[in-house]
Amino acid sequence: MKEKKLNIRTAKKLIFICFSMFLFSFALIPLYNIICDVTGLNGNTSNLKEKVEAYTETISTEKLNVQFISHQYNGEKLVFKPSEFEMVVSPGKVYSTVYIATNKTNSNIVGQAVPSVSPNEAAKYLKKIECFCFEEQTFEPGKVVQLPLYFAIDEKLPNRIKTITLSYSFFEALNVSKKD
Amino acid sequence: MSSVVKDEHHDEHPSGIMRWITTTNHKDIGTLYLWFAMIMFFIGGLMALVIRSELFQPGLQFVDPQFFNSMTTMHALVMIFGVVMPAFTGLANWMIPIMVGGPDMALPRMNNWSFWIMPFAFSMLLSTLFMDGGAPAGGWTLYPPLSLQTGDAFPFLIFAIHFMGLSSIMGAINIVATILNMRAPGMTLMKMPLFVWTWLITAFLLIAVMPVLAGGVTMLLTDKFFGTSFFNAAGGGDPVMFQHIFWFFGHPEVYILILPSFGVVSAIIPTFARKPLFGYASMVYATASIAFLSFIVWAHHMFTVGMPLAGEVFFMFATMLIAVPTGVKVFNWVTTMWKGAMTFETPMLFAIGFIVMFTIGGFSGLMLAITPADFQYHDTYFVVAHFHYVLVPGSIFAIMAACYYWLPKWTGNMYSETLGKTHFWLSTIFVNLTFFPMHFVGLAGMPRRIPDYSLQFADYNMIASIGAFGFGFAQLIFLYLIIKTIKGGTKATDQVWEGAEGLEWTLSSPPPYHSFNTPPVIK
Amino acid sequence: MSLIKNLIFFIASMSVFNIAQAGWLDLNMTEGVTDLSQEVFGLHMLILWICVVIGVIVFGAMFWSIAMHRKSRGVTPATFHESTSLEFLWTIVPFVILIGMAVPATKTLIKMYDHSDSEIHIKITGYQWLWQYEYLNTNVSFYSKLSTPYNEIYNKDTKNINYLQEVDKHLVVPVNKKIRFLLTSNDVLHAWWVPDLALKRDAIPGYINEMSVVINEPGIYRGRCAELCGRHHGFMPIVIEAVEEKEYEEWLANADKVKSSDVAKINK
Repeated sequence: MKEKKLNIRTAKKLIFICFSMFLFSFALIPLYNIICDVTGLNGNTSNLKEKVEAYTETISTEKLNVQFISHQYNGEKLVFKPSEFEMVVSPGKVYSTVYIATNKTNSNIVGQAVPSVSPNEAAKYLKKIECFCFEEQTFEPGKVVQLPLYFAIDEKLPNRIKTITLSYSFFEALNVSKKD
Repeated sequence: MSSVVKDEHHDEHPSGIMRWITTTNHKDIGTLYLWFAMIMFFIGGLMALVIRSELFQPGLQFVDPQFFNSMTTMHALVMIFGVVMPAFTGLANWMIPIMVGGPDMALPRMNNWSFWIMPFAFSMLLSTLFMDGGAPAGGWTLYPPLSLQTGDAFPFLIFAIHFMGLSSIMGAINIVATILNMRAPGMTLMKMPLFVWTWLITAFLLIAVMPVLAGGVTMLLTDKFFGTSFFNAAGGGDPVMFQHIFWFFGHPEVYILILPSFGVVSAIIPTFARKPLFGYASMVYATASIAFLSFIVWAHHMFTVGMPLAGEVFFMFATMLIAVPTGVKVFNWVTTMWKGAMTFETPMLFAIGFIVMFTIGGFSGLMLAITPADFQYHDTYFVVAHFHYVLVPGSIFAIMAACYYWLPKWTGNMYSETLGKTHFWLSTIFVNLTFFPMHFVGLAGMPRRIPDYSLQFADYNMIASIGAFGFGFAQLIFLYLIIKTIKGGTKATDQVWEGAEGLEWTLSSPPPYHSFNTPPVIK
Repeated sequence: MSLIKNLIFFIASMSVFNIAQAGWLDLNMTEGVTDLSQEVFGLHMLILWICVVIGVIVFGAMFWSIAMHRKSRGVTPATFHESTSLEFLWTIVPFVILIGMAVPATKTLIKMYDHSDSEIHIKITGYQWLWQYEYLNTNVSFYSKLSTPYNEIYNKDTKNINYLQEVDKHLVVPVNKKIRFLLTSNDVLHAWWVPDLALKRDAIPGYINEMSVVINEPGIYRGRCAELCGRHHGFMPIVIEAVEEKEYEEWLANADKVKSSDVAKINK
């Protein structure tokens, strides 16, 4: 019977490993997000406001292009477009641009714009100081709305990146509106 | 029945169906696993033949594209979880207690459960074929958002996967406990047969990664039904995240499917070369390093998702490293054969077939590791050719080799060598006819998982389909041979094979229902 | 023996089928029409030959052993089962070979990740089951979908030579200019793949991916969706037409005039 006890003890240990691995799979989500935030792995820029540090002090002479694009998942209902396609910017300086949204339906559209940056290494260098994407937006019927965006490029951006594209995908809030 | 369950060492057991339902005997459960795998092999094979019929010629002839996608999805799930894994677990159940000189598996009642969950899981999975919206058609990789478009079948798919996972985790726990605690005195770890070693490592892989798959599919389930957005960009999630979780499970999984075959081949080659296995210790270390590396290479399945340069380079290097321990294994087998005195009975033929064709699959795997080239190979038939080479003439051939090798021991009867050899040659010819042309269509630009293709791929697809039907029918010989051998035949000796060494050959053929109740003496 | 027999059988069957339609070139990866695609082809051939050489050595030794060291020849088996130097050797040698392959592969990869100085930017969006192309900074935007008639798919008509690889609107681009593609998806995962350009990237809803290319030769290049995306995954081809720069400018001006009146059509 000694053997039986031993077997059960081994089984318990293994079940413990098993459970920890199950929990680990869920822990992968925050882990992944942390890794993404640190490395910009998936081009998902933080949807949070960045602190404005003395950006104006160290304006580099480098020039680079920032492009704006958009994608809306219900093109019939909401037209959502950047006002300009491209900007030449210097890292360290704060710039602003607007996205324009037009609700073509007869009812309110509620939703949020989700940003994505390409190349994804650039994601962590793109600092958004003020952005419409920080919160959920409500578009009233027929109205044309200007959505402002203030941003700066961190001067630590690697030299080989010359063009950054910032894309906003507008998702209509369904039952997921309470998340985030 | 309970009295029998309680007293495992009693020699009487219920007869008929109740014997099999209530059994806690490792040999019975091993047999159940092997027959289950055999049945699933033909079901999964039938699905493959549906796929190959549709692809026989360009144009849509037999099935709807949606059903075609269901077939590719179900074929993969059935073959991976229903054939290769149970077959290896069956072999483990039969052989590991005998090989280490133990009386039974460590946890016999759990053993019964881990098998009997399987038929339920697979009835559930297969029942989705008759549901509204059809069976799952998003690929066995279940990538969201596509897999979330599955209809009524979705929760059944997820729960079926949970049950399969549960079954294999329970099986794995049992195997680890058996190997660690049930060894006969004197059977030190480094004296264990390699099959036991590879299974020990496989079982640890299973315990480590099956829960991760369970977690991943649970998140899919909550994303679909409970409004979470783990993988939904709209809610702040990332569809690529699922791929990371899936392949964190998936890459160790492919080694779960192949490591026990290394053990089988390492048992067969020395027997028929009449020469001890070359480099036993390095085989053990190579297996362990393959298992370790399998945890840090998962993203090579995702080279095209747009990872940063550093990520691509890291996963390319790590993946290429796997070639080193795998190479060691192949070199060891060849050196074992070198200067031996070989004979070529069916198990040896299958083992040699395994080495050659598994290595071909290994080569294409090395090619796939080269990231820039992978951009051309990814998701094409080249990949299909690659993983079928390591799985069919790899794992499946190893399982067949094991069946031929141990069948005389299990049944006490010799199988027909003529039939066995016919089976081997037909299988080898047709398996190559099926999968070799897939390299060519893949390189020429045919993506995988498509029901119809443009004209330049027509010739090779036709050849592959002919090969698939040939291979399918050749397996009926295998089925016939096994039934025939169980029913009778020339009596096998205890030793069975001239060069065979190991505890299993010291028992009678067939072995007594309860073996090694008194531990054997290990030299 | 088995392999040789198979091989002979194979080559025989291949050539019989082959002479009829496809050429021997179809056995291999395309060299493509960009500098990078040719580099990729070079890498592919390099590693293929390395594998062939290793294969010949290993299988050669094995088949030699099978032929010579068989019991029927009356040999007595040797008993050696270890050799530290040998085992060390075949751990190190593959390692060195691998490094030899990793270096050029990494170099090519770095080039593939350089998207600087792109002159034309095109956004590609995958839909179930068609592609949308937007020439950024212009008004040109259109959908491109399979144009093979149903009668051909369902075997009522004879299939034309471009069966399943023809679309209603080609993606027109100039040669010798760096083009940058931005990829996203509207619903599920897709992958945009044109073998001749050695470009393949996943289109992921909510995220953008990028890749760039300089096409050297004018011509029509055909590709397909490479990531399972549902029922019609096999029916969303890509046709890209590379033309001289002048021709491209004209095409763009015309396309701009027509305006994309079809934008609304498909977005249902």
